[in-house]
Amino acid sequence: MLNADKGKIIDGKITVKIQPNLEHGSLVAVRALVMHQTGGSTAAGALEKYKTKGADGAHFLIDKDGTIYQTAHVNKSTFHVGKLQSRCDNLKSCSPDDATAIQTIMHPKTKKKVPYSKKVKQLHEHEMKKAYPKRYPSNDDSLGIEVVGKPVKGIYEDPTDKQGESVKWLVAGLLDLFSLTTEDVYRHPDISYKDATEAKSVTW
Amino acid sequence: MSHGKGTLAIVVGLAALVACSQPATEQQKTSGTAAPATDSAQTVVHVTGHGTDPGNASICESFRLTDPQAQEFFTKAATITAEQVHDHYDVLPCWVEGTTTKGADKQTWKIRAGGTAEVTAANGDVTYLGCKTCDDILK
Repeated sequence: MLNADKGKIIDGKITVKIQPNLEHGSLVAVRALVMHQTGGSTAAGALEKYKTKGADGAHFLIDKDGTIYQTAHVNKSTFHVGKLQSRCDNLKSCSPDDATAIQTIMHPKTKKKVPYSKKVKQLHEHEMKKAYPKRYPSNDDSLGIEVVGKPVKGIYEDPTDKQGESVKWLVAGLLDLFSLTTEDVYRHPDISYKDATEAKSVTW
Repeated sequence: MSHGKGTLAIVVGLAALVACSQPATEQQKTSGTAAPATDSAQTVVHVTGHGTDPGNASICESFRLTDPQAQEFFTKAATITAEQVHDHYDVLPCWVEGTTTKGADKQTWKIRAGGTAEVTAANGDVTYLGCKTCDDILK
C-alpha cells in the first residue's frame, strides 16, 4: 500500500527526485496510468533532459536496475501523453453525431488538402471536450510511468527483469492509492500517436 | 527545440543531389563549394509502396507521396533520436515506403504522415528523421 504526502509518494522503494521543469500545473484527478518507454538508454540521460525548461516527461522513471524515481508530484500535470487518438473511433462506438464530427475532421470536404498534423491536432481538441473514460486519458488526468528503454533496430527493447518487477509493484500500489483498476492502465501508443512497439513488452 | 542536421549518409547524399540539380551560386562558382566533382553517383529516391500499421489508421489511410515529394521530405528533414521522436513527434500509423540508392548503397525507408521517417540500413540499424516544416507535402 502506497501513501502520498503533498504529492510525494512515501515509500522506501521510491527515490524522490522531483524535477520542477516537468510539472505544468495541477492535475485535476488521477483517473489512469500511462506506460511509456523513454527512447533513451539510461535514467541519467532522462533526468538530465528533465532539467530543460518546459520538459516532456512523466511522474515516474524506472531505471534498468529497477530503481524507481518519482520525478513529478502526483498532484501535478506533466506533458507525457501528447495528442489523443479518438477512443470511440478506435472502438467503433461513437454516437452518430460524434462519428460525423470525427469524420469531418479526418476527411474534410474542402478543396484544399489539410495537413495530417492539423487533423491530429483538431481530433485531439475534439476528444478533449469529452470526459474520461469516454476519451483516452490525457495529461490532465493521468500519471505517466517511464521505463528506461530504447528501440533496437526499430523495435523497443524488452524491460529488464528488475524493471518488470518494479513496474508491477508500482502499478499495483498506484491503482490501490487512486482506486483504479487495471483497465485504467494504458500503453502510450494505444492512446496517442507513438511508435507502436513502445512499452509493448511492458506488463503489469 | 533544435534538431541538428544529421550526418546520415542518405541525407548527405540527397543534399548533394539537390546541389547537383540546381545552378551553382555565385559564391559556389568562386569558392568551389558545390557538390564534389568526384561524387558522381546520383542518389535516387524511389517510392515502392504504402500501408498502415495494424489498428485504426483511418485518420491518414489516404496518405501517399510521389518520388519528388519523398525526396523533398528527406531534403527538409533532420536526423533525430528515438527520444526526440517519443517526446516531440506524432508517429502516425500510415506510411509510404521506398528505397534510396546511391551507387551500390541501398537503404529502405518509411515516411510517416505525421512527419517522421525510419531509415533502415543494410545491417538493420534504424535512423530516425523528423520534419516540422513538411506540412505542404504531408497532406
